[in-house]
Amino acid sequence: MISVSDQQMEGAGTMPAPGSPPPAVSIRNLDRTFTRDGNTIQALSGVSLDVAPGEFVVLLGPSGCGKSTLLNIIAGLLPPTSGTIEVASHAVTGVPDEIGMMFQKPVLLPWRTVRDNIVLPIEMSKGRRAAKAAQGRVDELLDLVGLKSFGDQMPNELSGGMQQRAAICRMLINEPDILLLDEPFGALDEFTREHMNMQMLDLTHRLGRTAILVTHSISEAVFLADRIAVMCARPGRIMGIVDVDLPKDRTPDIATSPEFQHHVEAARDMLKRGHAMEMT
Amino acid sequence: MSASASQKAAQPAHKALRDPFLERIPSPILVGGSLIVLLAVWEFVVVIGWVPELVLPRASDTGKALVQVLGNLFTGGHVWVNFKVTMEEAALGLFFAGIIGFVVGALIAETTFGKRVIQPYMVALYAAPKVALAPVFVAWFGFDTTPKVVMAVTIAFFPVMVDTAAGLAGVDEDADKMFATMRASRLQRFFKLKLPNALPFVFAGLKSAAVLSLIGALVAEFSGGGRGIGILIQTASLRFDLDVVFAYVILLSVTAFAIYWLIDQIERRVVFWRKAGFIPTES
Repeated sequence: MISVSDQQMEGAGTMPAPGSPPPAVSIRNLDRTFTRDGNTIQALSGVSLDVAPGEFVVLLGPSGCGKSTLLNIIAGLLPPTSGTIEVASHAVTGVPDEIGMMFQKPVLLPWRTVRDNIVLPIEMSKGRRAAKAAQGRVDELLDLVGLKSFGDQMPNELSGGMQQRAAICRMLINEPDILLLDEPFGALDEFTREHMNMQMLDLTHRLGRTAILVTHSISEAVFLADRIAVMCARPGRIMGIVDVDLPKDRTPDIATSPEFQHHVEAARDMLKRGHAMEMT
Repeated sequence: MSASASQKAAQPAHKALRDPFLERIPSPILVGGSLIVLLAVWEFVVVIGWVPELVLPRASDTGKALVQVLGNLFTGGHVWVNFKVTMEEAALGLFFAGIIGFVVGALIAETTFGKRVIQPYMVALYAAPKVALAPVFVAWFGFDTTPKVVMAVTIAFFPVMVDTAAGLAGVDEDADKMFATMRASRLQRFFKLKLPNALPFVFAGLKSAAVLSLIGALVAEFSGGGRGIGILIQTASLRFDLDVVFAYVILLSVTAFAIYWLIDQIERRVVFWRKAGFIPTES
């Protein structure tokens, strides 16, 4: 059995060969502790991970493994306790320009139309006039996610899946290179979720974006990922990496293939080992 | 088949929870009918002498007094003059209570000073029986309308303050994070997220404040003299004209209800994204 440190070396070892573009996200020996009521909790311990441009990486693990914490650190919402984190070769000190983020809830503002929700990031950084000028871009995005005629509706007139699609548009309006997805479809029913996953996969490939997605669903991880970083709890850390060498253009049918099942088993084994170590 | 069978099995238990007879009668008939019964009982117990007329005026006498009061009110008599005074006091009270309540609530929700320094005082003041201050306000501000407005503000601004603070603080965690990823400034966060989010709460506070403001004005009139419906009530009760007192109370209740309804209508326009109920579901 390979030890944890070996596994982490392996994770860090997927550094780009000389001459290839620098990683979109680079994490080295990252620790994060929280202190609550005098107790110190090790949320993340010795995490190292590189994400190549255009790569789809899934952070998979049980609750409490620090996967959302890691995503928040990449987003610059939370500083690490120690270690380094770089996005597009710049040390992260605040929210990087290159990122767009999505959450489990669509968090559309109910007093704004779908359209006005989507231009919100532009309105924040460049003002109302720039937001107005971006209307053409909004229409393109709405068309892209199949919400063409819903721009002038209010969010509460849309279904849960449509609301998340509007949230995708909002994330993409500033053309971020790196998409940070915190269980974006976790609150949707399974059919909608499958459909949304396919759309997300297609979108990232078509637009050539880097994506880091957090989930606790093994099959969702295998379906979406180029690489899965399997995480475990107490302390939160990366157990190992599962390379998913399935073809890029995946449909839900792929879930029945033996290759898919093979990757699911690999991830499940790694999760099991992490859980066993947590118990002892 | 099994679904319909289980539905049938569930029905008796469901029925047992509700009164099927009262459920079937339309609400206006139920309310109107019970009111007529209530008035009849009221009249009856006084007429047959179970309750002395000195203690409880007859329903019919109260009705007559109400007609007189309303007649005087709409022809611009002394009731109108005094009603106007009380309404002005209550309106000014609501106005200042709204402003002060909102500002103090925002300070408590948004600043460390407000949270650590102002809030403890407000909690202490909230617990204090503020109506007891009415004579103090009279001593300070005289027999004019000023002590009445001050009293109205003192008891009416609390719900606005508490609801504003709760609404501003109760922003969804993910929405907060989303604004952080958009690198929103503090002002942007306040005006584009927290304030609209707090509006339903602020309106709930204003609705309570409208009713409390009227009560504050009345209490101050009782101890401060001058003009106002409170004075008319006091005079009538000293003369044991309880039917007239009841007529004034009914007049003020209907007025308070009308103000509440008006604010609710404004809320429906301003907070258009929320299905406004008459009784607020949040806060």
